[in-house]
Amino acid sequence: MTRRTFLGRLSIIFLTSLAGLGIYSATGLFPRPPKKIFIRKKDLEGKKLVIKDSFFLSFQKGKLLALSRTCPHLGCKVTYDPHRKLFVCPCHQSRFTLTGKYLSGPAKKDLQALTIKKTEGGYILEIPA
Amino acid sequence: MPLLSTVGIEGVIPFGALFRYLHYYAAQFTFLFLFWHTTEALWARSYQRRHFFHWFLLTSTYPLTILALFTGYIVRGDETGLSAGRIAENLILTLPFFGKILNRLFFAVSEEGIHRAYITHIFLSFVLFFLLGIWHFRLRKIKLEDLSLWATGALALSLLWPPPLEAPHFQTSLKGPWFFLGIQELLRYLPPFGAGIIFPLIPIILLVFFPRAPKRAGWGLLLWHLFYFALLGRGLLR
Repeated sequence: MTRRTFLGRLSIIFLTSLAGLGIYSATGLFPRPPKKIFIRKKDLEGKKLVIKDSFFLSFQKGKLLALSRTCPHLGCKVTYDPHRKLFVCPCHQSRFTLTGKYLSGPAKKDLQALTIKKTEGGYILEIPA
Repeated sequence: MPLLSTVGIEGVIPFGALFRYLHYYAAQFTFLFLFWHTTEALWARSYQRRHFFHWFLLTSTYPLTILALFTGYIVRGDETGLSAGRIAENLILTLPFFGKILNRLFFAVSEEGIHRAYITHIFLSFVLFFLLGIWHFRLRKIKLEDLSLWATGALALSLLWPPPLEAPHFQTSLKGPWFFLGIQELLRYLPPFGAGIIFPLIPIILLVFFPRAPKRAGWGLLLWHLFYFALLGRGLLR
């Protein structure tokens, strides 16, 4: 084998590995831990429904429920319809009760209930990764 | 927040709003002309004068152009854009094995916001422009008068009807990009894999294999488009 052939093959292996590493990096994602959010008790006083960016806090039958705003159909952000007093997905109009139970539409699943724990001064809500 | 950057382009950068509107309308023209050009090419039977491999490469730029256009909607960062991105992400994840890799390459909206869509948008736009430019400019010289005419049209539209940019607000009904309204409508009735992956793949496959069976593929494309326009009409009327 000549020096030229050897260097040529070595460079092909090197460039292919570099391309592979690039594609591996591009398709990789850093795993994120679950997000913990502290909610002050004071902020919930007198309210039956609190709407945050990625979750709802709903008081139903004396119990506090934390529901994800991600629609189980295709991930759109579910919103609140004050006229019908329901949660509605604006993309395909899947409807859910204030307890997150599925009513109608293509979603076919309930809204995901998030873990909420009582702590001093409020609650800690965990949003999964 | 990406929407702040988009609003910043309009409010802070000199003529930023005009350039954003021009960019928007130029992109819509690109898609409409691509549709027209493909129809014209099929009618003129240009596939008979191309090697099948070249035809395959050319037709594969059709869905890539739509992807470049679609990612432009996502990177606006408003509610429509982000919802469109989340829908695309969940649809592509229904693909077995490749779904995760493709999602991480093009979308990953729920994990990374608009970053991947932004990179896809810029990279694809440039790659398509250069590759398709090299192919097409060899065949035909583009007249400056034609370019000027359509640039003027885009300018007129930009001044008369600025494209939408939604502030975050509670809405119970959201309309996606106009060219995907048909798929948005079909997703109400069919499972995501059927409505979002199989259905849009049909015209692409018919287009790629058009040279092999022109009559059947032609009828298939016509029927698919008639059905799609009916869905689009229904979606627009909502």
